[in-house]
Amino acid sequence: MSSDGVLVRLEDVQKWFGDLHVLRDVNLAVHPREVLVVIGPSGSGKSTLLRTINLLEEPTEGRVFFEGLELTDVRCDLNAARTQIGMVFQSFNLFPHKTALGNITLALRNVLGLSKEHARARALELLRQVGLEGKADAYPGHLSGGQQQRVAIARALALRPKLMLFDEVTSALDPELIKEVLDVMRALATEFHMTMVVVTHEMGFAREVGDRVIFMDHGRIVEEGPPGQLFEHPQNERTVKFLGQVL
Amino acid sequence: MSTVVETAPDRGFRYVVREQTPLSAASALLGAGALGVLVVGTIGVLTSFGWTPSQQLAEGITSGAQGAVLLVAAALGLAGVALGAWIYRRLPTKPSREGAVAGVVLGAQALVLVGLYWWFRSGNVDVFARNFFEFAILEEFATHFLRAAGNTIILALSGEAIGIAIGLVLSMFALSSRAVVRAPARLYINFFRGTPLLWQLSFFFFGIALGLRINLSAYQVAILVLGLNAGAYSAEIFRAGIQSIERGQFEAARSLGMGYFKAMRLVILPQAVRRVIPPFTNEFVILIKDTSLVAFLGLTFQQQELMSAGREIFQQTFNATGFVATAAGYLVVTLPMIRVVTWLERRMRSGLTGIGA
Repeated sequence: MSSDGVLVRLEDVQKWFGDLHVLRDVNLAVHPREVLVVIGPSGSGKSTLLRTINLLEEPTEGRVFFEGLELTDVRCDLNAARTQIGMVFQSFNLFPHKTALGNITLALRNVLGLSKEHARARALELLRQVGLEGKADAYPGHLSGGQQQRVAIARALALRPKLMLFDEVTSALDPELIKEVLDVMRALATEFHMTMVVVTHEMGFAREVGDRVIFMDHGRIVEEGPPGQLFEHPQNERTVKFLGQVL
Repeated sequence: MSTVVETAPDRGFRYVVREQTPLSAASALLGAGALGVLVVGTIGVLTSFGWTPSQQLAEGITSGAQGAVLLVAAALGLAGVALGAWIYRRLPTKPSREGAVAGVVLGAQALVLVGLYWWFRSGNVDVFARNFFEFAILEEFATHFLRAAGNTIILALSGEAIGIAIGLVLSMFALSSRAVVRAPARLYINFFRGTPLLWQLSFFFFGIALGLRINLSAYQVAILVLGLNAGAYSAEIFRAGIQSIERGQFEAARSLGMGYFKAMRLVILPQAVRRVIPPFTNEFVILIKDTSLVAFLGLTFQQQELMSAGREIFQQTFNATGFVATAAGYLVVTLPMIRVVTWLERRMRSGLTGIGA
C-alpha cells in the first residue's frame, strides 16, 4: 500500500483512439474498501477509464498507480499486478471450452500455481458463494446469462484480488436476471468490503451501494460526490441533463 | 406449466412415405426403379459375362442384354419424369409433392446415366477395356499396391505433422504487432503458397539435396517439402482461426494475470483449433493428393506411393489399368480420413454450444 492510503491513482491520464480523444485530463484516486460508481452517457469514456486501471487500455499519456506501483512503467510486472485486480466484463467472456469449475481453476493452476486439489477446493467455495455450487461441471453454453456472469465474478474473485472492476456487467442481461448479479455484487461490497469500481447504468444500485459516484462526459470527469448529493443535487448542467434522461 | 411431456410430431422419412398418394408413390417408385434396374441389371449382366479378362467385360458391355437393361431403365426413368411432372401441381400436400419431385429427379438421373453409358458402349469398347480394365494384371501387383497406399499415408501424415508444427509458429509470427516479426513469416508463407509444389519438390531434391550433395533420399526430401508447403497453408488457417476468437477472450485471460503466450496456449488456441478442423480437413485431403507429385522425383520400388505405383504398373505392362487402381486407392485413403475428421469434429464440439456448433 502506498503511503497515502490510496489503492488506485490515475494522474493526468489522456487516451486517444486515433483522432478520438476518449479520456481527457483524468485524475482519480480510489481508496481501500470504497465502492466507486462511474456513470455517464454512452461513449463518455467510462469503460475506457475502467480498462485503463488494469492497463487493458494503455494510456496515451499520464500515469496509473496501483498500491503505489506505477503500472504505466514498462519495467512493472503487469501480470503480477493484474492478479490483484479482478475484472468482470459486459459480455462475460467466460472460456467456452472450460466448465464453470475449469474457468475458475485455469488461472489458479496456471498463474498462481496452486495444486489441482487446492484450486478445485477454492473454486467450489467461490461457486457456492455466488450460489452456483450445482453448476460446477456445466459449460458456459448451458448456463443462463445471469449464471454466466456470476461464474465470471467467481473467476475474478478466485485470485483474491484487492480491487474488482465491473464493466457494465448487467447490460447484456435480460431484466429478470439482473438482480441475481447485483445481489452478488452488493454482498461483495457490504459483507466483504471489497474495493470496487463499477461502471453501470443501474442507478438504483449506484445510489444504494456506491460510496462515491463520478459522472463522466466526453472523456472528462465532470462531477463527483456521494450518491445522495450527486443524484439529489447535481451541480453541473450536463449531470442534471443526463440524470433527467435516465432517472 | 403443463406436466404432460410433449413429443414433436413425426416429420421424418416415415411420415413422408405415409403421406404419398397412389400417383405420387408411383412416380417416385418409377424413378427409383429406373436407377435400380440400371445399376443392378448392369452389374448382373457384366458378372454373367465375367469382369476379367477384358474381352469378356467388353462383350458384356456391348451385349444385347446390357442394351435391354439400358432401354428398360430409360423407359422407367422417362415414365417417372413424365408422371411426376404431370401430377406435381395436382397433388394436395407438401410430402406428396416431395414424392413427385423425387420421381422426376431420380428418373432424370437414370436417363443421364443411360445416355452416357450408351454413348460409351457405342465406341471401341474392346480397345478401351483392354487398356484400362484389364484387372487380371493387378493381381501380381497387389502387395506392391498396398505398400504404395501405405507410403501415401506416411507421406501425407508426416508432411501434415511438420506442417502443423511450422504453421502454428508461423501463425503466431504472422499475427505479431511487430513488423520485424511479421515480415519473415509473410515472406515464407507467400513463397510457399506462391510457387508450385512441383517446383519446390524438384528444387529441394534436384537442386539442394543432389546439387549440394546432401545425403537425403527423394522420400525424405518429399516429406520435408510437403511439410514446408503444408506449413504455409496451415499458418494461414491457424491465423484465421485465432483471429476468429473474440477479443474479450484474450482480455479476460490477460485480466487474470496470464501473459501473452499463456493466454494463447490456455485460452485462444484450444478454441481456435476446434474452429479450424473443417478447413484443416480440406487442406489435409489436398495434401494427400499432392503426394502424387512425389512420383516426379523417382522413388525406389519400396518407397513408391500410389501414383508412382500406377506408373510402375504401366511401365511394366504397358497397360493403364494401374492408373484406374490408383484413383480407387486415393479414394480408399481419402474418404475414411474425411469420416474420421468429421467424427473428431463432432466429438470436440460436444458441450461447446457457444462455438458455432
